[in-house]
Amino acid sequence: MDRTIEISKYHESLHPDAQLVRSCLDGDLKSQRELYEQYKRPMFRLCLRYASCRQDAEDFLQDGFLKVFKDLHQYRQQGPLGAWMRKVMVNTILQHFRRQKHLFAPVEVQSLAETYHQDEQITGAMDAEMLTRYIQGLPDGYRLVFNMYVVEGYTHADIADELGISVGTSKSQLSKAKAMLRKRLEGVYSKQEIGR
Amino acid sequence: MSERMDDLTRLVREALNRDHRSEWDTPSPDVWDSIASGLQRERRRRRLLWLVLPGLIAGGAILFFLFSDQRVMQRADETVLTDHTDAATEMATFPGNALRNEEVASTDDPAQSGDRPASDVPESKEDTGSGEVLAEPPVQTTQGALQSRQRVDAASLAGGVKATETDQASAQSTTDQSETSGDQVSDLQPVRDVPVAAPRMVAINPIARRSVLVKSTRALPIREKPSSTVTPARRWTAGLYLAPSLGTRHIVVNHGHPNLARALLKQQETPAVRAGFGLSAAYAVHRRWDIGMGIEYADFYLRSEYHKQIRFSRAGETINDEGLAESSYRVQINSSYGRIETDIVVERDQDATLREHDFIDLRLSMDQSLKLIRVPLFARYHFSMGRLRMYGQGGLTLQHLHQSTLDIRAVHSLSDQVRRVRSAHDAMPRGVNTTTLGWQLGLGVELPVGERLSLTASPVVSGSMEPLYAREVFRIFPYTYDLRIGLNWKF
Repeated sequence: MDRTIEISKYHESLHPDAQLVRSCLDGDLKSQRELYEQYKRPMFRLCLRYASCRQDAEDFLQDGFLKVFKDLHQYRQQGPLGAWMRKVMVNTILQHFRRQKHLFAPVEVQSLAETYHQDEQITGAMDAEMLTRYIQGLPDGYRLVFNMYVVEGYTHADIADELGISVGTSKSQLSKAKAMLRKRLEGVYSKQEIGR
Repeated sequence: MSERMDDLTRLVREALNRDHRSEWDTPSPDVWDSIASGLQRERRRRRLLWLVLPGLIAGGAILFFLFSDQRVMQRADETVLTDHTDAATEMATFPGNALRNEEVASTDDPAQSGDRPASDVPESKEDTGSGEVLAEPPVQTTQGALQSRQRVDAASLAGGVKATETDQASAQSTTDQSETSGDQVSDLQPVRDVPVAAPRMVAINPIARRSVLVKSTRALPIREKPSSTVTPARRWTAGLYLAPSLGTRHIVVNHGHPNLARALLKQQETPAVRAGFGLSAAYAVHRRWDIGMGIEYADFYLRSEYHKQIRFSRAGETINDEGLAESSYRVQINSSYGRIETDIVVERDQDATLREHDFIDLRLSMDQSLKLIRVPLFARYHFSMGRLRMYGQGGLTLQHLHQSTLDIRAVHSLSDQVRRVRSAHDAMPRGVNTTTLGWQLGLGVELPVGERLSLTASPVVSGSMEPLYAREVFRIFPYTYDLRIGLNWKF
């Protein structure tokens, strides 16, 4: 009996969200709100990186959480809930991008210039918010591949498989995304150095 | 700087993991509102699905079994003019058919029936001399050709059993001849077409009926006498069953939208102890359909607790025989089986201090015994699945809910000021002691354990068509579900 309790406590310690998940599965709106409050910020950061603007990110977040609550019964508690939710969220976002026809169309030089946020006032060290804004400034295809490869850790083969493109396209999109981002960040750091 | 930028991946990951300034990664409150409304929509959709799905399944099942017969008949049509020897043998050897075949032969004389002249009969390839006729290949499907063959064949069948035996021998010889002469066997088959009177035999002999279904030709008017009108051997079924209840639920209709409320009224109620039994009688009007009626009896015992609050008022106080000041308050209690209105009487010592409009908390315990008598009129559709017989039934019910006892006890919160609180004896429930119209739906399975006896198990849902409570836009319809286990006897 004691051993059963110990195992149960151990399990609870491994999965602190287990009770919350059960309540959510029962359809308790209060628990669903609690789960949302607990994970809204990391999930929103993820959405911000994939979206081109805050409004789109909120749409992603909304669709993602609805998907999370719908598929919560599939969560087997074999890993952290946050990681599972992150995966669901990314899949929801990818689903959105898969519907776009001209996601990987060639980007013209003019439009590249327009993607920069020239009016940004950089005052401190680069943080997540600033970096996220630069990533948001990338064209959709670049941003998508960059996020999947650099942040999520997908391989080019995985990206090609997920987005229905060739491995070569994935590599070229990543290369261009990095070049664009590097150019922008170099400019920022130069400004800081000048300021000193 | 360039060196730092070369490792862009590391830089990005570090930056993203760094502490974040507040608020920028906080979504607007509207997002949760949208999610919550989306969740509500999803819940409504699921509820609707659960309402529609059983109906679709039941409808699909009924259509499947209705059309499965037609598919069998269509397949039978495709096997036209093959292997007729067995059919003829079955018909001719069945007791009584020889006599009927004689009648058929006499009444189906081409000259008397006014059919096309004998010259229209296609010439046979070969006559075996024993009533056996070898006819054209099965591609001949015109009415005249088939009728002609039927006439010839009917005459040959008039010989009864003896003719059949010789037919089998001649059929064998015909096959041999076909093989030796090099003719295609499929084009030259011994014809033992069904006589014209075959549809009439359907009603006499189930074996002959089966033969017609499988062996008949396209031209025969089988559809005019569909198999579904064949009457079962035993038309009546009597049933006796026990019906332990599984529970009571409610359908809440709000602004015309139904909602299955699981625990709206049950929150304060402990499960009622209930037992019931029923008798039914059904009459087969069709091979698959029965209609019937029954009578069911159920005994309920319901214990429930409710919290109420009343406000003390001196206005209606009177002095009773014991010298206590007494005032009464009307209280309504909604239970799963009706609304009970009772007067709660508060008795206090005359010198006890109790301010006007003070709240008095009451805990009311209610014990209620109810008897339900229900008369269902139902239609039942059944089909066989292996050894089991499955059925679905539905119909209307007349139900009378009768209350035998009602006991209400009250406990109050003001022990210093109030001497006693009791329920008046004229508590009158509404929704009971009335007869209402209801509906009943059920599924069932029947396991035969003898020629006439079978065991049955059937989950049944019964509901009322009249609301338990009704306001302007809000109505509550109770329904119960139970599992019936019993015996059926056919006679």
